Amino acid sequence: MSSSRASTWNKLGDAAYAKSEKVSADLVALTYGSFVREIIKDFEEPDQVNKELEKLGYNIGIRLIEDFLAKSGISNCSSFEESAEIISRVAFKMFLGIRATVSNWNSEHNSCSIIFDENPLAEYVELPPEYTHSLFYSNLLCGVIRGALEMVQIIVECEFVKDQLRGDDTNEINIRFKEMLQEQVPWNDEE
Amino acid sequence: MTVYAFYLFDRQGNCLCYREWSRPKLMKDATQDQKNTFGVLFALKNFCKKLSPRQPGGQLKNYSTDVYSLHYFESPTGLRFVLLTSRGSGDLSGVLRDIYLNVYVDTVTRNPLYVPGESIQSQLFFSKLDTAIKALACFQDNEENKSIS
Repeated sequence: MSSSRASTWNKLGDAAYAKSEKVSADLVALTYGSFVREIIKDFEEPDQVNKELEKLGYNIGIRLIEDFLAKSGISNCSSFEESAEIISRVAFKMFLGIRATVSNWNSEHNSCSIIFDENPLAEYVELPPEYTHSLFYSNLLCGVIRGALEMVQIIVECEFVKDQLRGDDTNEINIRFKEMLQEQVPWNDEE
Repeated sequence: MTVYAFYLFDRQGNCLCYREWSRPKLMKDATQDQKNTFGVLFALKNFCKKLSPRQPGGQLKNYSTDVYSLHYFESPTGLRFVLLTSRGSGDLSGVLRDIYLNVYVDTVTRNPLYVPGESIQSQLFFSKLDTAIKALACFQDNEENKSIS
């Protein structure tokens, strides 16, 4: 990744962040916290809770992408690598106020990790011992990424591999590229 | 110069919004008309891509016949904005882009009641769209044309 493009994206992220309206980080953290609590109450099983959080994020992502494109002015990415860089440099900055880094590319270049040290969603959070090895508290983010990319025809799988709430040194979301959707004629005139 | 009609399609070909200002020729079957329009643009888009000397191929912006012009803008998320005007109105694909950025995103995407893929019911969207279209230089003669037809 050339450094000039990287710094262009960093600037884009900063500009979009400066332009957008801010809400209190405490409000977001506390609202998200009560969301998670409620979902845990409803579903009990941590695996199920992870799934629900991801679904919630997916529904946010399919809308957030329009907002992202409108505010950032980014149009088309030419590769999956570029998409990943833009997510971490522009989108993370724009919506979470933090900048993430992309690394851990595999040799086929279809899987990478987004790494970030600061997580505004998880501020003030301590997981009780029974959840530290099962719950991904910020799994919402995985859903947002998957939903947003699906809207631009990129199908990916996302999962947390490291979470500071579990005692890891950083937060790491793994993104695996599955396929690029091709546009098809939506109906068949012969029918 | 005149603005005739506006279409908004999603990637699946659903017509999310159709508005007309002065369309002299009445459509017999609106659904069929929308389907045809989407079909033509779908084919034309792929055709433009194939002819393009560079990869990735550029976007279709507009085409004209000796009677009317069609303006086109497609968002990276596959939303297709289409505007039919009389000839000589210049390139309005930038205007459609502004409608996407400032009207669609604000009033449709951010509206939690809107279900993606369904036709738009938001009055706010309609009124903002109307304002944007009526502000166009080429809209001015709409009233005149109406009285002639």
